Amino acid sequence: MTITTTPPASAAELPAELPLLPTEPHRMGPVTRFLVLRLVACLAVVQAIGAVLVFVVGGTVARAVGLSLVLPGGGFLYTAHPLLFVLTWVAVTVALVLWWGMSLHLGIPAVWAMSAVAAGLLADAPRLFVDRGTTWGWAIPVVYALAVGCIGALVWTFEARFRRKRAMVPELNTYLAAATLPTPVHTPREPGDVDADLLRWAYELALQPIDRFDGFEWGEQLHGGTVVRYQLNYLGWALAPFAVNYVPNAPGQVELAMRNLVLKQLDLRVWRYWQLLNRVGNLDSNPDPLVRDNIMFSGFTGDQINLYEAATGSTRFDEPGSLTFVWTDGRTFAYDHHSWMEAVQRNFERSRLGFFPCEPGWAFAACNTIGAQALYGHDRLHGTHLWDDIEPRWRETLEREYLLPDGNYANIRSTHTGLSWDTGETPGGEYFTTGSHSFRDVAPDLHARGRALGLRGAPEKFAKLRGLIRDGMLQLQLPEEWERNRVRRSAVPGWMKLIGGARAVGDDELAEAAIGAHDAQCATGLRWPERPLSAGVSNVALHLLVRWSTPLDNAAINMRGYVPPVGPVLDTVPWPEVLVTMARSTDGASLELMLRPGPTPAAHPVQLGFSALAAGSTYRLCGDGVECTVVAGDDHRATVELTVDRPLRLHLEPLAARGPAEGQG
Amino acid sequence: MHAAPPLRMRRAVVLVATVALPVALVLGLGHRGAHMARSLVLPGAGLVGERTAVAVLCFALAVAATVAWVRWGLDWLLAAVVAGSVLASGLLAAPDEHAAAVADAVRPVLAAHEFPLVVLVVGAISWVRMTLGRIPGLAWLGRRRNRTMQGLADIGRLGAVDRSRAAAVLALTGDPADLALARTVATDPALVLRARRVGLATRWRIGGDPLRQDHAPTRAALALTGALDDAALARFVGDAERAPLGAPCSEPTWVRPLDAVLAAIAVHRAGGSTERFRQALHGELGLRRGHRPLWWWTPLGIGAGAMPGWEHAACSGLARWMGWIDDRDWDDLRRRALGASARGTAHPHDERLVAAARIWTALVDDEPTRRLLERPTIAHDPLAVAILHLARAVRGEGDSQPHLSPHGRPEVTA
Repeated sequence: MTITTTPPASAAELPAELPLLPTEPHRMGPVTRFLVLRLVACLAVVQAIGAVLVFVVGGTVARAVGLSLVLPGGGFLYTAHPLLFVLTWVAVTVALVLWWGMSLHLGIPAVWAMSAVAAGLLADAPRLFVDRGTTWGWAIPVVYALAVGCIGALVWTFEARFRRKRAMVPELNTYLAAATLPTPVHTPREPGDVDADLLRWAYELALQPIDRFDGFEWGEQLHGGTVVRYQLNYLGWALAPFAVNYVPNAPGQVELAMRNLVLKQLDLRVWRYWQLLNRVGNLDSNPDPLVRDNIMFSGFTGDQINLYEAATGSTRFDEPGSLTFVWTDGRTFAYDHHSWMEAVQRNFERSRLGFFPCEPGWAFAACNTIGAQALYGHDRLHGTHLWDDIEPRWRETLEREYLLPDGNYANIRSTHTGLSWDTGETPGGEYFTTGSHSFRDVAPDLHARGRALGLRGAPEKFAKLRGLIRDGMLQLQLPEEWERNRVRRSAVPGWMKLIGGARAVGDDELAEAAIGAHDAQCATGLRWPERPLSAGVSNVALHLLVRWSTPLDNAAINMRGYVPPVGPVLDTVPWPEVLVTMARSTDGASLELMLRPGPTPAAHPVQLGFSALAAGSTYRLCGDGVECTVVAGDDHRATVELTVDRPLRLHLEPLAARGPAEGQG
Repeated sequence: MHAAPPLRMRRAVVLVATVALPVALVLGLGHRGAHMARSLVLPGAGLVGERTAVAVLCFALAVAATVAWVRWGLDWLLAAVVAGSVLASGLLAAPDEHAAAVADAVRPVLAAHEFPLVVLVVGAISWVRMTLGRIPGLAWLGRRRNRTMQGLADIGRLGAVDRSRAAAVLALTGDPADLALARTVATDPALVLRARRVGLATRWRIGGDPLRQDHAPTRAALALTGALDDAALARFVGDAERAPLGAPCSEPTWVRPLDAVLAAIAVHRAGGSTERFRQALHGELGLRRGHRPLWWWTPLGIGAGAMPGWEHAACSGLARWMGWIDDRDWDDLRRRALGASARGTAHPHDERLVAAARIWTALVDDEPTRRLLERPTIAHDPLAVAILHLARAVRGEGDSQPHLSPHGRPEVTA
């Protein structure tokens, strides 16, 4: 039968033994150590030159230059230009922001070098408020103190965090050795009114012309909260479990929607940001978004393409040139599903760190996990070995370069300096599991360990919430928090955590009650191009992903690959007149259908086409005032004319077959 | 390009006169003649330093007259402005030593003559206009108008020439609804009024049929929609057959290739001969270094400029459809069209280029490009939509323009 009720608990979910944390963790992995030591060596050389200029060469100019090498702008303090010192640090701050925001790797070194040159040139220039030629001798110890303070603060922050986490290892390993993981929820859901509103909105976003983006949120496209590529990714990811869990026997509408979401990724407005980043960060003006770095695009969308194929069975993106980017001057970069994934694999292979960057110079664990999912999914669908070839090195990088002593993984690492810090995107800049599948497909053992660490104490907390359930709804309102793009506050992210957490601890009732409470608090009743939830497009899409991910989630779909539907298929549905919210066959012979008026309902009967029927058999379609019979033709097809002017729950079942020789389609 | 004997003679005479006149002025009128010669090279230049304000006025008038000349064929005004500035230079220049003046003046005069300079000014104006159109902000302003266009429903918002072109193109689709709209547009009295005004201003044509000469796009639209009576149609065909390139001018003295193609198709459909025009497509209007000339000036038989991508694609696409040229244009247009498709349809020129390129993809075997060019939705600029209708007709798809509901929801095209 098509619908999977509760998938058998896999070894990944209930492992016999969880992997323990290293009892003597290293401060950093070998590649990170090399990068950090290289950085330290560069800084040491600069400091040495500075010291020679200050203490050996002497003189106002040499000291000014030398102190600016010791600390950016330090020479200005020595030559009594305090304003220039402050301006230098403003420039350093801007360069730091641009380093992170636009991969401007040369920004800080350039400001540093320019401050040294400028300090030397202005050593004899007139000063404000003090006489020409004035020098402040006290600046030498102060500059050195500031420099030592900066370095010391960095080292202390890193070391204190490392020691604090290392001290937790014994306790965590004791917990892991005895931990029993709850079985996650895998109960099929029935779509309700809000599901229908959400689906209609998602379809309307996706089914507008490829070059139209009405209803999407536009803003900066580098890596902020208004990035359209992520909105497309999240919507594509969200529709995959919907296709598998809700409409496996009516794939037409959802297939087209998911296809369009992939095709929209090829729109220049979505990916043209890459040339800017590539120019600034790699000094490379090639606009091809797949050939170098950019895993935030190649990995994410690669995963989206896999899920499209795994959920719908469509292989249209396997055709050569089916994923072609066109640049403003008419240059084309032609890819397909296979060559796309090969480009991802080549980037993995080329990377010294083992993970390759999103923005030039910045390699995120999350994005590289999604890139790994993409390779894994392609292998599952096509029998290739892209992931197999990468897996050992990928795991080594994850476990040696990104793992922190307490089982968390660092969110980000600079591929130039080896540094990592809290970017503010995830709590503490770290997580126990990451990627959109939480390692479940690419590293099941690490998924189990991360899940165990993440759920420590969670079942007890969620159990307390059960007392707030009244009439199947959680009597709770969650506080609104800022969305990532800082445009609005929303309670949707909080509800996503609560629903996902309840499912993760196996509390289906709480999860459903939380969905009800979420709908009561967040549903707006608005229709596209407005949003049906009080949240941005990204968060609405992520909510859909959580909401529709049962019984199968995307990790399970990625592992499973495509499974064609069994039983009758509703394959002709007029859009935008009719919306199919459920089409499942629980016995391989009949079909459970839920239809609703689409965005442009028809008052007259519309034609619904069924296929995969038993030839010659008579089928009865009934429910909600509908009662009719149809006979399947020799082509195993039948059509029904129906007025869908209200929600309809229908049941299609065979009444009689023409003869025993007639098989099921 | 090999000019016919009368044209060759005319060019030689003009060249000799262009060189001889300044020299004669300098040698014959001394210092005053030198100033006059300068103004012949650049209107107002002979007054710089003497009457700078008048010089600036002369130059501004010359630029305006040049624009009017290029746009409407108003050639006598430019000639008058140049002559006026030359005369003013002679009258207002202070007397000076004859010999010094000769040495001073002959240098620039020998190095230039006025016509290329005017052409340069026109080119500069066109370049400035295109450059400004690409500057962020200004480009946005340029695109804003296009965004508010609703396809053929806004055909009335186009300028008269583009309206005529759109009508002519629509008439070629063979769709009855398109033909009806084309006829309505082509018979708009505003087009006749414009023709009358242009005829009056450029050639002092008073009375009679304002469309008896020139105005290729309007007459092509009328002919293709069947709105010309037999006499007018015969006059149109005769006019085309007598024209140097086998197609009437768009404005007096200016042949623009897109209008000429439309007119030639109309002549062809009316049973006239297009032999001369087909020759011109390989000669005077031929493909050179990936471009075809933007215009051809009939008095001297000079073609220059390069058509914008959309005009080139539409013109050559129509000619290819008629079987008058081969596929070489597509080799050069393909990448430009793809670039336009990547930039999207916010700018009308990009939208028209993509639409016109779809005529080409219906005619050549280039499936990958066809699929890429299908991505943009052409729904704003009325002329682009008209070209799209024709492309679909050429492809044999009939009318499959996406139907947008009032709030922009499309029907799904799977």
